[in-house]
Amino acid sequence: MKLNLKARDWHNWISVILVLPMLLVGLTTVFIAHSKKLGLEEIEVTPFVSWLPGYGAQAMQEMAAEVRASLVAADGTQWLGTKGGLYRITDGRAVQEAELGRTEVRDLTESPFGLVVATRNGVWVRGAQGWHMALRGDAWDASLGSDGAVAVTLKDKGVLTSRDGMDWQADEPLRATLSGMPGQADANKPVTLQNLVMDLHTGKAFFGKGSEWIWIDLLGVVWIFLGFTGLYMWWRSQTKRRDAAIKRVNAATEAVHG
Amino acid sequence: MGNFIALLLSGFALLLLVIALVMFVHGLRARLEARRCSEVAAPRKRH
Repeated sequence: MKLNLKARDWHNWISVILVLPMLLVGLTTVFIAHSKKLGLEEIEVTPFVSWLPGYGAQAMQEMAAEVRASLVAADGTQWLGTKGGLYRITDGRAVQEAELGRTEVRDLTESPFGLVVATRNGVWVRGAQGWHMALRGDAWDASLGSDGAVAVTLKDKGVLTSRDGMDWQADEPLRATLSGMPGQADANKPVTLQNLVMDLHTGKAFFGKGSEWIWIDLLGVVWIFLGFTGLYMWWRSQTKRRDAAIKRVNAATEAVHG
Repeated sequence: MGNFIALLLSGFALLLLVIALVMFVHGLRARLEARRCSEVAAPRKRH
């Protein structure tokens, strides 16, 4: 087989082979830029993705083996919070708490009103009635204070406290302290090359954190547009070439028989 | 509301990917067919 690939051929073939991943990256870029507004964290798709290698049984087992938090409760029960869910150790076996699903567990604490679990999709409480999600959001930690109240930290919500696991209040004294803090800590933060590279990549360097979605959307949409129009042009050229070839065969057949 | 828009956008994205996949497979088949036709036509021309 003779290989005589010119720059245009290389361009065409690499584009055609990679056009589907290209479209996938472009589309997901736009989703990532607006993940918070779209509430992507709240939409569970576990049953639909188990066929993907990254979410297969082995990948899930590996995730489950990554322990993020552990706790031995007063009744002797051992709890393990992993990247792939919460487990209770019973008779040497790890039993998954189905209510929490495969959400990543960040922290565990025992309180007078039950077990409090900080996870990636919210704060869960296991009281006398069983499990319930007390707070939605990206929870980082949970700790029991000396007064019996539990404090949890959530992304964008800050520190919230509760004495019953139902009613959660912002920690006002802490909030007042934080708001009184001078912004010097951030202003004097040195910018490393890693920061600059990342901020140029995400557009934060040009638009700021709040508007970086403009940069991401722009590039994501252009990526989708170029990928799709390129694929369309290639498809048109291939079907035209096929039609012309069929026409030639028909003409040659007619010439032979006619 | 956010969830509804997310599902709507996901549906649109999925549709776009399916169309792209169909075009990709169809284009490859057209290319193969064109090559086959050329191979069939070439010996006849020599006659």
